[in-house]
Amino acid sequence: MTDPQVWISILEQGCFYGLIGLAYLLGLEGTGFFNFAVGSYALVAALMTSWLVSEHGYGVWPALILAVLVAMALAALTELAVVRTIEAKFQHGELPSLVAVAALLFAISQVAGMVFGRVTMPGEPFYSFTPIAVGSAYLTPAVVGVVGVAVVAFAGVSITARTTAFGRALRAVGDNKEASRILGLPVGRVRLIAFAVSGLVAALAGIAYSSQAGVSWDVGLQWALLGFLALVVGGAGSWFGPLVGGILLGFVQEIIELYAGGQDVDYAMLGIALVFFAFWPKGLTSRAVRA
Amino acid sequence: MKSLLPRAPTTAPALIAVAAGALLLLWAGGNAYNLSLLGLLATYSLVGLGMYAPLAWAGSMSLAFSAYAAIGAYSVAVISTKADAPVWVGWIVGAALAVVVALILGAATMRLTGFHLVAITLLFATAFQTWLVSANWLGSSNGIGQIAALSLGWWHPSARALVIGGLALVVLIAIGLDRLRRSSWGVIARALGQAPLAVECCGTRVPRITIVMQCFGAAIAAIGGSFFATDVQGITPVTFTTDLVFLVLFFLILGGTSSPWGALIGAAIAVELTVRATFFASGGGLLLLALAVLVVLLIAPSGILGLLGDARRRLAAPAGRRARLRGDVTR
Amino acid sequence: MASKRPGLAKAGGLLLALCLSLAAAACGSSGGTGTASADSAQTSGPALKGKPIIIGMDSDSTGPASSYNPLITQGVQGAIAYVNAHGGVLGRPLKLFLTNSQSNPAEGPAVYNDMITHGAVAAIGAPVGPIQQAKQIIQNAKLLTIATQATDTSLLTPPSGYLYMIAPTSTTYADAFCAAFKAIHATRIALFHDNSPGVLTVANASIPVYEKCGVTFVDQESAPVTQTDFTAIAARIKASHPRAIYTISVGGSFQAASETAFYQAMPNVQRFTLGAWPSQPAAWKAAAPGSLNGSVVIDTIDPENPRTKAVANMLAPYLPSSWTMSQYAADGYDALMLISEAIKKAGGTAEPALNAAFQTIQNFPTTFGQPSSTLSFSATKNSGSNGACSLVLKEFNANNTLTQDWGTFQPSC
Repeated sequence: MTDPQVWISILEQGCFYGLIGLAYLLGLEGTGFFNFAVGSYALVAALMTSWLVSEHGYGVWPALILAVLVAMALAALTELAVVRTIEAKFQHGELPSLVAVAALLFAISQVAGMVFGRVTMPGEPFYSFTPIAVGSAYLTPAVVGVVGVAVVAFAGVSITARTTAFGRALRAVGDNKEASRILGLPVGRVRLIAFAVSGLVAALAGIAYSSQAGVSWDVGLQWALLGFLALVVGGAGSWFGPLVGGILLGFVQEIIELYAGGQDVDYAMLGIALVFFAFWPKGLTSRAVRA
Repeated sequence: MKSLLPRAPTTAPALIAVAAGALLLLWAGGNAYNLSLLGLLATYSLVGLGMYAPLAWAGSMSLAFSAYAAIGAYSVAVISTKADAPVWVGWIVGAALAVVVALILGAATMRLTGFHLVAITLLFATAFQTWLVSANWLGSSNGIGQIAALSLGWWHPSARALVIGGLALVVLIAIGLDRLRRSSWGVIARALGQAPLAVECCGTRVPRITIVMQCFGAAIAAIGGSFFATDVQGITPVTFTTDLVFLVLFFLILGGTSSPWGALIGAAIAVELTVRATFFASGGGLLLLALAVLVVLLIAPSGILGLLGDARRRLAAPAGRRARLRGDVTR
Repeated sequence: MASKRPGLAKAGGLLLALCLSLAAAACGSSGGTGTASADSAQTSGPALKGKPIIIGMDSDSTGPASSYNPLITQGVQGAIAYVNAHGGVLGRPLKLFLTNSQSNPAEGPAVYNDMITHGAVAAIGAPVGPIQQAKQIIQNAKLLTIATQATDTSLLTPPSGYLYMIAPTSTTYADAFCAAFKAIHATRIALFHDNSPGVLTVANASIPVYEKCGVTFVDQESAPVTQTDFTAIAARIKASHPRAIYTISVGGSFQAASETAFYQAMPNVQRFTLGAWPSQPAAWKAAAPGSLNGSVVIDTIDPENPRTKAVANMLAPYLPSSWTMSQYAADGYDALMLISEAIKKAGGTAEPALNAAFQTIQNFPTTFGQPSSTLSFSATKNSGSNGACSLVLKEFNANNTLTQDWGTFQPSC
């Protein structure tokens, strides 16, 4: 546990899970439900970047920008085509939205597999450099990338939410959509922007994380699940909630590996979920996690 | 008032299902491949019927059903190969074990709904599969083979007879669920999904009913697993995976959740699209299913059942108009 | 309005839906997803007049194994084209009936039944899971089946009278590595593997074998295939002071990350690998620059083997110009040739004569491995591998590419 490399890994894992959780939170604030499809936005962005770079010789940044735009477009489309229609048709009950985002996740993953191939692709770091030694540990481009994106994203989102009109509008829309509409807030536009930002965050997280060890067309569900756990554990009470949750998840993962064994990680995740859902259903930073 | 009576409305769909089953069996003939497809149809239908009740009635979406199906299949395998007992004992043991697991899981997740329940049950299904793969006494990654052929007393059913039995079982269970749905218990259970608070006020404990439904569903899904293992005489730990649960979820929505018969329609579509059809050979079968689900949710939320019901109503409507014009006020 | 008879409305709906499905089913081919594939590229030689001999094949072209199964298919298709251009088998052309189980065991029974109902006399199965689930069906139908990618003899637990393996088994790999460890005087080894089902079986099966040959596993670590961070594991391995690290894994991103982590933690500890890593150039790039230097892998294909080169030249005219020889193509080619050999020996395709003939095949030279590598079968030997010379040890260079054989040692039969 005293090995600094372990702590760097916890930080990296935690930041990634936290970022996906943040993507969820942005969607949650606007619509009140959990958009599982964020896992597929991250996956598409990462896979597309790799594919453009390795199969079509693009430079990393042009590929990245293109991929992020595609992910954001998918997110926006989700809000426009799926979320609005579901909300209009089903006044209550989470089931339809749940099934819809699950179907979306699967559909996007399958299309990604068909378009980009079913091979595991290596990721592309934002900027390549030889790992920096920090004591006995190393900072790889992936670590710097993931943590960097996390710092920018979390700081950016929380500052924007607190200081800009958009941030206030997002909070208002999340609290009471009808009241916001009556007050003249552009509910549709606010949510659309929130989803697009959610897609942006997920995309950058996916690209940064995949440079650690690659990405394949079928990781979407697993990323979605871990991000969801990060948000639930951390709570939706603060924009930094998912980060707290993510780091806790990363910590538990490392502990289990250090003292038990890789096989037990699945059991551990189930255990964490059971414990938190039973005793701290609102997460560590609480405010009602609206269902 | 009449629609609350359990008898007449169930008979018609049941007869249709039996007729359809007979037609399918006629089409299959003795062709082993076609019989395999029908066997898969029966398996998917059973798992679907298992997921149906808690999902459609209590609005409770548990993804643990791959585990229940696996329990059913492995029980048959273990009972037959290690306990040297007849295969049908495995069916009973499997259903019972699945109920116990559902009970425990239900108790642990009693207050959870929606996304939280999905996440936990998905984690459970994943952990269960990890355990199956690592368990040496269950054959670890190879699974268990050489399950004895089913024999009921002196009768040793042929492959065709097994499939007939499986399809018959599907129809029987669907009839049972349909009757249950229309019974007074079923009405309360269905009200759960719509207005849980109202149900609590009537003195019924919501979590208790939800758990009962999950247990019911678990037993049915386990029977699906038992059927599969009996039909193909073997089981592996990666046969019933979380992918299957999502497939079942999608085809349930597609078929329509207003009655259990939707599960059968959905299962047929799923088998056609993901196993049989060459048209979608590039993995598009599952993609098409997922897209179809999205379309259904956005445009026709009651699924195929609902669409066809609507069509029938629209066809009947002109008759109603004519009746009114005639001054027939009793309509 | 029609709610007076909701049952009838639903019944009508049900009937309509089922009729549509039936119509679709009837309109579709009376069999299933299998397609009789036309061999690509040119054919030559006289047109064969005999009734085609149907060879079934299950190859995952759309699921988890779709990145390499099609390469096996190509090997089979090339072999068939070559055979048909050179007189066929007993004057009859071979015809491929291709199915796709998508590596889904639940579809295994359907897929093998598909082949059987289409008259396949033998089958080549690439994904192993569907074969495992369909074993009883294969046995009941007496379908000679070669599981090309299977490496664990536990697949051959009964029923397996018609089931064969051609790849080197986990014990063969263990023998090769045992000899390699001895060659560098390494007795303290750290074992590291992922938790995918196949790998777990291999890892657990090989531990006692290695311990019997004098190796002590000073540490054993494992992780889920989806894991991407190995710092903790590297730390533990380092603390156990191994002479070498032995990795068993499906490779890919998992291994790219683990190799990087091990290199960073213990650059001077020799690494050995068993798994798909040698055939994954895309994944090598994901490892940190220079981190793979000197890492030794075991592979089944040696492009410098004269026989490998000869077969590549034989098949090239019948396959697309971009085709290159690979372990997978070699597997497909050898499987098909074994079946042809058995049919010729049996003088026909009837069972159980065909199976009996297959079991008389001895010292069949393989297209993979070293030049001395052969396959032999018998009534009690369903796994054809004849020893560790079916394997080649290769080493990575400083550019993270795999270009040379390991100079220190090569396994022998």
